[in-house]
Amino acid sequence: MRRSTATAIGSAFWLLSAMPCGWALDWSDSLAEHGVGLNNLVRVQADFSRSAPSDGFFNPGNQLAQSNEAEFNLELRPDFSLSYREFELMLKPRLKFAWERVDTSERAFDRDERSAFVNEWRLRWAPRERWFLSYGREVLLWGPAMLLSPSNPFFTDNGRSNPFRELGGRDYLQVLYLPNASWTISLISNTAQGRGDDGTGIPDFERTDAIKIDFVGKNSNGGLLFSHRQEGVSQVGGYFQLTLSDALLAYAEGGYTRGTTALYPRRSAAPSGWVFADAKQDDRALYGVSLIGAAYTFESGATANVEYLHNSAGYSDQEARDYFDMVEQLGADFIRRDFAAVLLLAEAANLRMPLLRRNYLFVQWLDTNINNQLDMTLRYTRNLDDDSGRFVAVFDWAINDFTHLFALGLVSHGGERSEFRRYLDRQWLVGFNLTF
Amino acid sequence: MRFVVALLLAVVAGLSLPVVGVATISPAEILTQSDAARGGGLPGIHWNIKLSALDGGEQLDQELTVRAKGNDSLVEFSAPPKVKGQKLLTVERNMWFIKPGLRKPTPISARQRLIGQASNGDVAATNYAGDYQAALLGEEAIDGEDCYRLELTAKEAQVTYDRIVYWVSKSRRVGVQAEFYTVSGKLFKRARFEYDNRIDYQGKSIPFVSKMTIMDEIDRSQKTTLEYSDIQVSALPDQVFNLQFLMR
Repeated sequence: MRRSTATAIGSAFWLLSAMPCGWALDWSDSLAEHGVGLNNLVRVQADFSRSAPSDGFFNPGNQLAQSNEAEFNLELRPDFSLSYREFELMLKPRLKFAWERVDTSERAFDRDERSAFVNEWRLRWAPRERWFLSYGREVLLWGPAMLLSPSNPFFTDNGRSNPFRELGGRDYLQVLYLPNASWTISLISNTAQGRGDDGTGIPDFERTDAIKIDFVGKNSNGGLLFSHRQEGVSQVGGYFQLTLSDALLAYAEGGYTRGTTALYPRRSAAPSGWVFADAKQDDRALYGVSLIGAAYTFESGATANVEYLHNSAGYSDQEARDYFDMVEQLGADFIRRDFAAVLLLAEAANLRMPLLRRNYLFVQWLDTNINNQLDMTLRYTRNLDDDSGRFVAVFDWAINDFTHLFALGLVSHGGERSEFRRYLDRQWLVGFNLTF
Repeated sequence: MRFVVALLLAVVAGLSLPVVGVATISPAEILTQSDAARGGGLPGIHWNIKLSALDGGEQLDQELTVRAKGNDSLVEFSAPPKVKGQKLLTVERNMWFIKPGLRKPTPISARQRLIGQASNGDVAATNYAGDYQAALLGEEAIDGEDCYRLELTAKEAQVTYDRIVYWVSKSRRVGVQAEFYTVSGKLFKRARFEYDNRIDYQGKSIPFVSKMTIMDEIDRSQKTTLEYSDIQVSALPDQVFNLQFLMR
């Protein structure tokens, strides 16, 4: 790290160590006398990670993606919420310092970023009993699935693969109506990209409008959602969860479109010999992701989740062979300085669908409060079509009332022409979190 | 001889009378009345809990706030800072855990342990009358107080405990002791209840739980205490128990 970088880190630490004394002052009692409800939570997180990007045709010599091999993050994450009469304000400003080292086959360099931003905020107004109107920047997630959220047209990533990274909020206008305790009707309009990446791979933001109906029954809960992306496809999604016993939950989730915007490799007369085409956009068949799962809590308190996912838009064996043939060709072109390959390799990284192939198995083991201190999450995702997989272990250790130490390890396995070995082979991350 | 038999039958019948005769109220009604003193079946109530656990020789403390309405409850953790902002929502038999920084609520089961010997189901409002079939086993004094001894059998598999033996004070109509059994019939924890709080309910001042002490019957060195304070009865709107309103 350069001297300026070290100075910046030192300054940030000084700021953070001085700040909580003032910020953590609890004014809630005095404000409550005036009918104002205040909640605040201030967290400081620092983490360091090392990654081993895959060195294959997808990212030759790491020259294309320029993924970091080392990264340090220091973040101040205060959360505030304020309520007064029929108004409620939520605010999550962030102060961030990040440093990373990128090592490619041609050069190695450092880069850093100092930023202050609002990751989420929302103003909610209740004009009438059971009616709520809100606008703001939020992360909207729902559904019982652990691997990903196929019913959600706004966020496919549910933030569970790396719980130490915050998802960026997107801008929403929402109207909520609660006819009774069991039902909720939501009209949601995603009006701007905000800080969120929807993972769709569609480069320009398109407004998405949705109507969502949620219910909670005696032993079950679920939701149904219809969304329409401006200039794009409409999606129907839903989730359902059933409480079968004090220990066993069963659930299902899915999201479907007529036709798909997913990209498929096609041979062409282009110089590279290949193009990506949204070949099934006009198809009248239903495409989407279906997920079924179950969670069981053992007497010890540990919970095991098992999920099966089917991605009907995913590549068949032949399409996968074409895809890897295409990328090998493009990777070789890229190494020969044919920069026409850059665009296609970038498209190969994001095929407008959450997973590459069709069949996946996911298992998770969650054990919380081990010795009243340690939470452990072990996650494994296996591509049943190409037998590649990814194992993620997350440990969160509360060393005292204010401090958590955490660690994450990720290992991908599979052949060179497999999904999980395309970009990232290994990663580990360690850090701490202070809460005030 | 006939006289002796008749006399014996009369004595036996006489001895049995207190059980049958006193129980003019049904076991289900006894249970409903005792639930109110633990937050169950009320139209809206709020209380704070100080949870202390002695686990493996280590003392653990947490503070939480509970809001309850009917079969629904919302538990919010306020201390220590490492758990501040965590929430546990129960709507009927559905449960979710919400952690700051992890935006997506996690569906959980009632069996998952909180800290010490307290499970998620212990800190939520008690609704034994809705969840269990009650049968009167007899009467027994607990610390010199006459109690109904009820056997509670789960009506459905979704509840926290499969079987409970529950002692309810005859005079105060509050649960004073409970034994919790596993599906295999093994006693695994025992709880004692104290009622030094009072609330106004249906025009009457009724006792409300002030302390629950849970003792592990397998490892007797482990003990968990829940102390209840700041009880407030007030109507709570539906959005308090709506998952979409909990993400701050």
